[in-house]
Amino acid sequence: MLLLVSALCATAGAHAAEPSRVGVKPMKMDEPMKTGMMKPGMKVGDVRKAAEKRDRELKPMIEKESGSAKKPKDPPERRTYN
Amino acid sequence: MKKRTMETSLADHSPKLIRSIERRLFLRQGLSLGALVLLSGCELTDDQRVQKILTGMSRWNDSAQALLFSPTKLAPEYPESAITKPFPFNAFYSEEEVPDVDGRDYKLELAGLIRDNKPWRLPELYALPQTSQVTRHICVEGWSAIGKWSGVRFSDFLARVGADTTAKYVGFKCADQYYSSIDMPTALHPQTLLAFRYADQILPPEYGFPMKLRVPTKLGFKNPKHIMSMFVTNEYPGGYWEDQGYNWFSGS
Repeated sequence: MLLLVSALCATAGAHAAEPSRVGVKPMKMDEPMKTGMMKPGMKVGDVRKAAEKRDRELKPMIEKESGSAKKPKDPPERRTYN
Repeated sequence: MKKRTMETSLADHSPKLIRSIERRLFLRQGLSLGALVLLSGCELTDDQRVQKILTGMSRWNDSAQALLFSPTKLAPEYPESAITKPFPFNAFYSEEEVPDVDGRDYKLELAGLIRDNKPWRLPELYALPQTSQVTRHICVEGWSAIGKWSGVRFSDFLARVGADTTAKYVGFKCADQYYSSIDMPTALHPQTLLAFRYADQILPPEYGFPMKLRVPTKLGFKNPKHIMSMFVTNEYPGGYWEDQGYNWFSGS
């Protein structure tokens, strides 16, 4: 019984840690962008590449800043709206 | 009688903002020209070097615009009868490729200089005090449209999560891989919203479900949709279009 409860708790914990799901509607990465803001040759997939590059650059600092932010003793209670 | 199109001209409705942006563009171009003149003794074919200097001038221009920004000056609001129907879809991809975020397990992730960085689920966000605005979305492409957005005042949300409001920037990462950032004074502006609804309905996917940042004091590309995470930082976070050379501040 204890094993079953532990297994259930572990499963629930794993679920809570999952990132938000984004549905599968694959972008056509090699297609030209669909906006007038684009420069010649820009493709839909360029955004992902740029985002990953920027993310790599920012990650060390954001982690450092996240670590330095003081944690609250009593965070305000959250209500939910159904 | 002049026929009104769905996507009315920016110049028709926002002459003040356009003039302001044009002034800044003129200033930036003037400064860029100055930079090029200064560079005339250098190797002008050295693209990287020229680009670096122009980027530096653009960042200087951002700082000047930030100094001119008034945290209390409001963007115009309109009656609901002025709402543009249908509100145009605009993204760097087609409408069929809009990301399909699952609201049931959605969590807004928080990072950086934020005390309480526990993720937020949609029912918790919907339970926060909400406000509405009917404002004009102005696209850098030259069109504009009026819409009604509702959500939590972003300054209230930042206060609630214990964000360090002395930090310089708030950055956003989105489900469509888009990323952008705004300055803290704009984040604290009373009309800056974390919007969950459009026209009193839960934000439809094409307009940014589950949430978009609505910033009526800035151009459209500073209004990220499908926000998945945000962070408060003193490190310049840039943005997709901003990193392509569009002015980072892009607002009034």
